[in-house]
Amino acid sequence: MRKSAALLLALLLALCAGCSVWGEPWDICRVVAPHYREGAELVRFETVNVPEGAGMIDALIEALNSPTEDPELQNPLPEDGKILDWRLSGTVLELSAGEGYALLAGLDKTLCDCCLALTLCGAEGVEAISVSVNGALVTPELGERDIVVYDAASDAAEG
Amino acid sequence: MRNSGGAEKKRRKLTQRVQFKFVLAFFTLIVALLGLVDTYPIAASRDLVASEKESSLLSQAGVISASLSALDSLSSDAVGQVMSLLDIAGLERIIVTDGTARIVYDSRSPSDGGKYALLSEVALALDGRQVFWSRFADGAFTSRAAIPVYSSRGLSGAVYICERDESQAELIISVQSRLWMISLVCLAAAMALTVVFSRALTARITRLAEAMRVVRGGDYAHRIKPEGNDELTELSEEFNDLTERLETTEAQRRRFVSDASHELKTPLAAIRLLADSIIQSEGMDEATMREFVADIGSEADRLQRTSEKLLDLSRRDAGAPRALSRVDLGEAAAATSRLLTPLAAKMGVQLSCSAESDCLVTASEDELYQIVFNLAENAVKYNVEGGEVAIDVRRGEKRVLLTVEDTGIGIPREDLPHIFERFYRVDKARSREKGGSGLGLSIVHDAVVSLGGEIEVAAREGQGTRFTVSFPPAAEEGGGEL
Ligand SMILES: Nc1ncnc2c1ncn2[C@@H]1O[C@H](COP(=O)(O)OP(=O)(O)OP(=O)(O)O)[C@@H](O)[C@H]1O
Ligand SMILES: [Mg+2]
Repeated sequence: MRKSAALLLALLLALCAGCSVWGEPWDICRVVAPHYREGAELVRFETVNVPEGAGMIDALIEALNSPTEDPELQNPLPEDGKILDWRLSGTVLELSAGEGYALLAGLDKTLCDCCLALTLCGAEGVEAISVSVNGALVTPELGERDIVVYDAASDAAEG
Repeated sequence: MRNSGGAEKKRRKLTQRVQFKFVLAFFTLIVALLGLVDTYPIAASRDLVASEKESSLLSQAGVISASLSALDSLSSDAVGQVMSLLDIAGLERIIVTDGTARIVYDSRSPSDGGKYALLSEVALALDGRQVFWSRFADGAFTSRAAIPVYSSRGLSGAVYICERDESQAELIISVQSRLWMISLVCLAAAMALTVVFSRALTARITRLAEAMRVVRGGDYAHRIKPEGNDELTELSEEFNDLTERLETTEAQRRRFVSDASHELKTPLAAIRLLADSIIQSEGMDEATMREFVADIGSEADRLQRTSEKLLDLSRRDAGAPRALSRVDLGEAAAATSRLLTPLAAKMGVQLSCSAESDCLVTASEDELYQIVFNLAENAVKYNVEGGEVAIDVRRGEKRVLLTVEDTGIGIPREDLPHIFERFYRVDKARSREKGGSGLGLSIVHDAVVSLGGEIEVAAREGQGTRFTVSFPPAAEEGGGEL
């Protein structure tokens, strides 16, 4: 009994150590499910560990493409609108997405664009993103500065 | 036996005291009550403000939305123009977005124009819903509302407005703090009162306990000063009655013991004296000797009678069981008068007895004889030469009555209240000379009371005495006797 507990502890310790070695934590932007929006925020960040350096953007896109486990959150990207490829030109990260992305409109498209921008901007050398489908630009340059995540004005006066 | 009260007094822990429990209970009650009084009005007024804000904000947003609905598409310039025409004051921020949540107008920071507003209120409004929420925190009401904007081509955007109201919040906060202040003062006052009252209460209980200790120590004269008019006062009064009872009982006991020993000592001393004089005087003539020995005999008789009566009384005190049956009081009276006829003749007293038939009472036969005999004997003994004694038994309205009346020496008024006391004799010398011990009437009294009867005496000095005893009649026996 005691032996197994010790073993478990050792395993846990090793796991934790492994985590910190594996990469650094990064915020992935997700959309709050419509049901939970009232009185709360519209987007929320989920933390994942990504490797630093070269593999980082790949890992982030992989995370953006995969579904979230939090029942209150949703991945805004449509099934056939996942990110397929990326290219860094200057400080702009040019993303090419599946065909479904081109069909997005209105608030849904805004949410997808913003989630990509809020997650990827800040990664090494990235200041803005653009999205194209089959070579056609659907979202022109969009940076973190183009997005208002919450109404700071009403809270600002509180300070 | 007697301990000092202080040494016996138990020191109790604070938490074990009645006062503590009392104060604690009241404290909890008052705190709960004040908590309710303090929170409920505040919560209610907050709700009131929130609902008032809801209607005002939604109507303001509605005005903006209606004004914008004229535009086909929400462009920054067109919206700016419309908004400049509208005169809306007092809002913290107004944001107008197009259908993609892109800001086309921002009253607070125009530089935000063109940015995306990722606000849940905007998202819900773009979903076609009206949104409102209000929060009371950090000394202000922050309220937000958003509603959709419809143009002729359908949903074209959303209006978001935010308001911060500090004056209402301040009002509520000041009321709240004032309420708390008042509550605190009330609590302090209530606690002080509770402490004072409970102390007064427990102090009285403690005084009662102390008084009990004093009485237990043997000081039967101790009394509690009654205060107030509540249950504790009743308790103190009961206690005082109890100690008074104890005191009289104790006094009676002491007197009885001393009287009894005196009564027993006197004949013994006489016997001793007579015996000594017989032994010491040599050559005493036989006649004198006989006289002395006869005296010794009569003293011994008296000793025997007294001790028998004492025994009888103590048996009665101990509540010894006795067999009760239906006895005819008339027969008992007749038998007694026959028994006393020789004594009456010797005293020159006329003794007569008249009895109705069927005067049945529930009693033990011995007791009934004792009652009649003692009364009749007294009537004969304390009579004058040529006097009369009449014994009469009758059925009264509800009672059976025994009357023993004589024309003897009577009893002085001041002695009447005492004649039923043990060893009490009116004229010690005369009574002694008649062989009395002063126990007869107290035996009669005890016996009458134990049979549920009553005894009364009427007397005038020198003119005779009348004892009236009334008994409850015996219950009918099955009705099968006739
Ligand atoms: N009928 C009476 N007339 C006048 N005095 C009476 C009469 N009955 C009682 N007394 C007075 O009351 C006193 C108490 O009477 P009680 O019968 O108790 O004692 P006693 O007759 O002296 O003694 P005991 O009856 O014990 O032999 C008597 O001593 C007497 O002075
Ligand atoms: Mg007598």
